[in-house]
Amino acid sequence: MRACALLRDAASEQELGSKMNAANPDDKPEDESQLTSPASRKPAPELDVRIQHAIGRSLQAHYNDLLSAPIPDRFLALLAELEAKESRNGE
Amino acid sequence: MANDGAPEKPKPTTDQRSFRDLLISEIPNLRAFAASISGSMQNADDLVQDTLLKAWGHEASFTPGSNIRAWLFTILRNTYYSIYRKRGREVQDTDGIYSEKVVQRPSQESAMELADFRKALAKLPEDQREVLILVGASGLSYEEAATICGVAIGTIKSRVNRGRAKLAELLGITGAEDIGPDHTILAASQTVGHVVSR
Repeated sequence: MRACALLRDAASEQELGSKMNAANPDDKPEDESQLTSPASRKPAPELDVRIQHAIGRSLQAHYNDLLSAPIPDRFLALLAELEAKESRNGE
Repeated sequence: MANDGAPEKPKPTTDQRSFRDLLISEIPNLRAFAASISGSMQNADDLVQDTLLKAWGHEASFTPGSNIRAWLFTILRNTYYSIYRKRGREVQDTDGIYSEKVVQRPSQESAMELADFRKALAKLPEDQREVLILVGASGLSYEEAATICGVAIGTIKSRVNRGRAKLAELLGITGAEDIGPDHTILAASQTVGHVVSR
């Protein structure tokens, strides 16, 4: 009887867990990042939407700036070499 | 590649070429992601090279039609955590890394903003930084980020939230009044100066 109840509890807990993953467990602290960042133990406070957007724009400016760099020749040469080697082997 | 032989089956060549083209088209994203997580352009290009080599050797494990960026980012990230991170991040030089690009910003002011933002980004815990880059800049979904990092979507969401909060803190943003009328971050220069000075 007790075991049954325990099983039921475990099952519903699991169900709850997967529901929460599917839904929005935003502020739920999770173990893993507590390991890597002790300062992040406290749940993140709700940031003003405008701040979120400003940070989003800065992230994109950072990334797009890197994206705009020309592709170094070494990568094109590497891939050309790999392809040439493969077609030599294939013949 | 003689073009007079076997015109019935040009497929291998076509597929091969398109796989190479796919890889080439992702190089800018690979470099941007690699530089963001490793904090060094030198490391970034070594990482990209390793990633391209592995991708080439494992083409069979790529599902055509699926998101090649997510696939390549997974390879790159695994490579980073298994090899490069062990070398340590002491090579990191946030002032120098991106400088060649920063000078090309349209205005001096936004160049400074970007430089300050990068210093703050470099100070984030790496799990938060990579997730912000993945979902906030690289165009990948939360679900793809979760697959790449091998964690649940909820974990990605909470890392994004914590990362944003930490960035706001590092940039000295306490309220919406710190955001300029053009939505740039006003408080950046004054605060980060103190935080970053070594």
